[in-house]
Amino acid sequence: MRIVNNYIHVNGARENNLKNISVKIPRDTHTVIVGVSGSGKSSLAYDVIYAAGQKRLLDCLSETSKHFTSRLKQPDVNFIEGLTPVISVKQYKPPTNTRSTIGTLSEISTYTRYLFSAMGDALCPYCKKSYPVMTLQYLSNELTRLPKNTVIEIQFPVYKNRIISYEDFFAGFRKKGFKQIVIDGERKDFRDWIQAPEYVKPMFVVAGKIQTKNELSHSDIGLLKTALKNGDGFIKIEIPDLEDCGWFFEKHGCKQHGILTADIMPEFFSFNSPVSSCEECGGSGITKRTIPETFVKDKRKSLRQKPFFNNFWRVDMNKPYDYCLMYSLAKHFGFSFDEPFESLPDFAKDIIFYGTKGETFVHQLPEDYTKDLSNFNRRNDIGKEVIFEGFVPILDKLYEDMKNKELDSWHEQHFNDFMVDDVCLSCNGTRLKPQRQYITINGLCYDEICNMELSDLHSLLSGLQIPSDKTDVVTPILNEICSKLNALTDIGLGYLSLNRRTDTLSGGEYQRVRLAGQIGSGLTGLTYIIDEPTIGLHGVDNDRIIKLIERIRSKGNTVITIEHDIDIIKNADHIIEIGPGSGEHGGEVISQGTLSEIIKNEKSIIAPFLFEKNEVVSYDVDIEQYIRIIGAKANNLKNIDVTIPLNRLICLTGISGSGKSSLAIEIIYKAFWSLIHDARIVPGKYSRIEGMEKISDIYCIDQSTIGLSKTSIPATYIGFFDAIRKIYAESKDAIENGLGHISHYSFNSAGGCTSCKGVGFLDTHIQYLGNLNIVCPVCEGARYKDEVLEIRYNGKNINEVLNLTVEASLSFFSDHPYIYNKIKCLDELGLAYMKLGQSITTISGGEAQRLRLAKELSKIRRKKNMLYILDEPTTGLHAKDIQRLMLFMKKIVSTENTVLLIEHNPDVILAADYIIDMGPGAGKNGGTVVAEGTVPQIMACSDSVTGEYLRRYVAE
Amino acid sequence: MENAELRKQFNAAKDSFIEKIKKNKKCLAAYLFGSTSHDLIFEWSDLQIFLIFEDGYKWTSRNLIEHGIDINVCVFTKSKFLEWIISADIEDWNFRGLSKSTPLFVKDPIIKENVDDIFYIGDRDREAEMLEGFSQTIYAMNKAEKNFYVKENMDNAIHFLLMAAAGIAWIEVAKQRLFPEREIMTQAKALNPEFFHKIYFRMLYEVVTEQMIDDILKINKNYMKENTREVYRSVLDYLKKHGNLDRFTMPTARGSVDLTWLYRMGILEKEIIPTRIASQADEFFTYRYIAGEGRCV
Repeated sequence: MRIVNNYIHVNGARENNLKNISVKIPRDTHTVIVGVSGSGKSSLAYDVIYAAGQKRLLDCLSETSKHFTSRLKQPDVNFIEGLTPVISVKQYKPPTNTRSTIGTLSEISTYTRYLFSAMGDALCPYCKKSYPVMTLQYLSNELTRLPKNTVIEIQFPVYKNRIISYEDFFAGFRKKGFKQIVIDGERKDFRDWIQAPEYVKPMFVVAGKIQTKNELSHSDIGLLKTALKNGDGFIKIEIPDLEDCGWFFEKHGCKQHGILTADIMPEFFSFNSPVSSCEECGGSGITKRTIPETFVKDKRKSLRQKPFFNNFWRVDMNKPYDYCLMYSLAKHFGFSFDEPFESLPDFAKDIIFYGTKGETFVHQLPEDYTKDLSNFNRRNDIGKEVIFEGFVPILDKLYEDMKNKELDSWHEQHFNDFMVDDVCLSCNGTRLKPQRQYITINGLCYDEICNMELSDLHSLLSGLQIPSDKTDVVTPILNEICSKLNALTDIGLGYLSLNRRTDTLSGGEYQRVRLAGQIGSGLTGLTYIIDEPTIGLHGVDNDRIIKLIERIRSKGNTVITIEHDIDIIKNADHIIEIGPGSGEHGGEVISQGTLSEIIKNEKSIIAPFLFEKNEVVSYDVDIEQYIRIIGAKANNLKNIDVTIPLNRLICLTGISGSGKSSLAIEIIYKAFWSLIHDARIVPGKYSRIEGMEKISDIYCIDQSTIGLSKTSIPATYIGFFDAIRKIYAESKDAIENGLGHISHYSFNSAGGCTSCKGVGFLDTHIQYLGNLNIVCPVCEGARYKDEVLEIRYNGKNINEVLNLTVEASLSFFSDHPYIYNKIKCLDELGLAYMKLGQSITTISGGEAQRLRLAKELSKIRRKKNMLYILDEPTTGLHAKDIQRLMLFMKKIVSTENTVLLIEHNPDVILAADYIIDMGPGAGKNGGTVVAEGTVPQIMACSDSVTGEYLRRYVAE
Repeated sequence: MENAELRKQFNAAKDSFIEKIKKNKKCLAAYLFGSTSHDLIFEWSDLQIFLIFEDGYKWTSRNLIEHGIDINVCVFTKSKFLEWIISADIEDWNFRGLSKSTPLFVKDPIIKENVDDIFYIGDRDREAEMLEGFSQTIYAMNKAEKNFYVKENMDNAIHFLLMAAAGIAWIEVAKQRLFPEREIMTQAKALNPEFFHKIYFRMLYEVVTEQMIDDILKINKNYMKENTREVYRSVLDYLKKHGNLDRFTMPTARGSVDLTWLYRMGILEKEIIPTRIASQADEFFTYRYIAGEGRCV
């Protein structure tokens, strides 16, 4: 008899802080795991269920295949029954590869390439006349229909890019076996000197001639193939007697210019293929551009006082060449060598940045010059007429020469210091060869299609008229694209475009793109583990996630989500609550069951939050002190003016893609950072910012990770470990035993155990079983040498101090205000359970974010008039943790600082002093300020989706 | 004197071979090259024939025999043949052989048109070939001068002077837009008998003395000086426009342009610039060429 197991039964899980727990997760349902940050949710979902699923899958592989798989650790659990193959859709920062786009990630690009290849029309590069694309075979057959023995000449169009010289360009074609080129209608031979204007588009290389007959020979077809290959599918046919052959062009191409198109291949539209990528940027769409202002280190200094960055131009007597040249320029062109750089007239700056443009001047030695000239004299320059190219051309030339070589780190840094990534001038960011714009669908070229918002693209392709002869080929391609686009728009990502780079997506957007891909996969009988799918999503869009999970579940899959969002929790079929606290105070199952069962459970921590009543009290915000951004135009911002009240907690709201990050990060953060710290940072477009002087400094905490070094611990990350080491190094015992240097108390340095290098355990690789961490037999996990551990402070050695929790260490270091204040921050942010020496690699995402917050916010006691920008600080936080965080934020604001939060969490929005709601939609439908004001004002605004969401939230 | 009977035998073998191959519809053209095409023959000569077929065959070279006469056959496909003759280097031995060839039959007018065109020496090729010849001359003259003035080794000096003369001959032939023959010295002698007697042939027919070597070295140097502006025209034009040669490219068939002569002539100057070898801390210097009469930083 067949036994059907309807549960995934986890028995005796002890991984990380889990305390031998057992849970039953109903299959083919949506189960949500809740709990405060650090309680053990991820340990149960990933380190037990996911790890066991992966391990069992690998067990099915052959021994040979196992050698090629990553090593997996055996989860610490008694048994797991009823587990199906597990797929993880985790929150993590998208890959930084600039070639990864929404199109490549969702694989829609693969299909759009086929679509263009199958049904794209061609445009004549001259007159933009549209005509159909042929196959090579069809073209060969049609050519035989021309009058017999007609000699026709085949040419193909070529486009010279900016990086290749004409000399090399022509030599390349000659080497390939072509001897003539037609430029502006004039035929030239490669054996002669060819003068060509700088920008001629296109030129035509003569491929050869064909004599028409009943059937084209192999050589003739070979010639056509060669021409089509070199012309990227375009050829020009010269027929002496056009009268008899006019029908040919009328039917197949542009009669006026003799252009035909055939064999457009899918790879022609891949920017990752050398066949089709832009020759200048190699398909990245980006080239480097020199920013003149970046050379200036201190504009208040005069030329004599080294105003420029030393690694570029050092006006120093010890660098005679640079010094004398700058002096000679000033002398010759009549500007001051001693006035501040910022006071120099524009023409002087122009000469320094862009050179003398051919004008010569005498290279002379200043009268007061006293330094050694041994190397300088070898140039034999003094007294000679010289010209100066200028900083920008010098660097541009160096970059041009170096960019195709493998750059060493010094050069890479050098270029990054003075150059910024800019849109490639050759392809205008399309990443493809220029001729790709001449293949279109519905009058739109590939790049235009890829830049459309996904929702618009979906509408366009849904209504596409397919020619009857191409239905069989095109319909399946279109269906596949539309299905994928549908999934993406349904999940609220309709504002993205196929060309959008994945490294510019937030973690939440990236996760949702991957989730949308899973819907399209059509697999059933799987277990999906989804980590906080609502991150980065506005409350009004939560329904989309609920529907998406429902779609995955309805296909016969089990969905396990780790979630803090109340809407998701309420809609789950089954809830497992882990807790009660974090770290060693967590790891137990507090309650599990359906929503109604959880609510009735008195032990449950989440239950009170599920139906908590929120009250909104009317209040006013004084905005006498403010900064004002005028004419913000970055990304989708529509020339908006925004007022930010100072010394307040401000919340920037709006649905994903409405322009929140463009305003807060691209304009406000970058503009202030550029002004205060580094002029090389280029902010997004805006007209001006009023009140910049009111901000003393700016700090931004985004969703990036904090590094994964094994030896990184909270004490080193926050930066108080040096102070602790100093206490030990200055103790009497330490000095007497010759251990009076702080390096002896660093496990990374002199004090570390020599066997495990201060890690405390040894990494052992056992084939297939993965990494096993064995406690170091020499230091027994203490990380330090024995003699170091003998030094004690207040009865504890350095290792024992690292094993203290944040809570316990507060009293231990109460006499050391510097250390105490830093630890206090950790405590206030709800990290009291965390050990000072816990490896950063073992902490959860929410803990990592709060650690970053603590690091910066521990400094605020010393700072005023700061502007803090926090991008979704509640990510990964339980409702209880959010309350604690908000108290901390209020505290920051009370010390005359301003906090600007980008948030979706309704509890945070309700707690803000002032709200700026962006929208109304995403992408091109966003970019304006829909409403701004206090919570009641936003709730009263009928146009604001945030207002509507808050009204609903409060009512519930 | 050529043996008439031998010529007859060669012609019979050639006609017989051609009659057979012509029947093959895929064979588009046949060209006779080598001695039988343009020169006298002797008992150890052979017939050398290029056959051009439709695409779809592999390039091959075969030794055949017809009526007791050796026939060396090179089989090309049409597209490979056209690609080769368009992109070939003038110094390519077979290509130079083809320039003296005789068409045996050509069924394809496109092949004929292209073969007829290979004798054309364009402006660019003329200057590129002069630069090639000049580079060879510079190398040979440096060696000859060192051997004669420093090492006092007459044998080596003569060896390198003969090589220098071949370089000068190449320049003179290119200057006249002529297709260089294998026996380049004979071709150059026909253009300027007196000059080439002075720098080459007298070393073959007269007693070579130190005075003669010294004279030849001076004549050659003088020739090089007089021809510098014409040979290096493209380099100097670029220099005039840009002030330096940092990005000067002129891909010649057999290597890059030798610029040391222009430096010796004072047309170019070396600008000393700092460079790095391993680390930023090491201070070394390198140079780049700039225009002698002006400075460019």
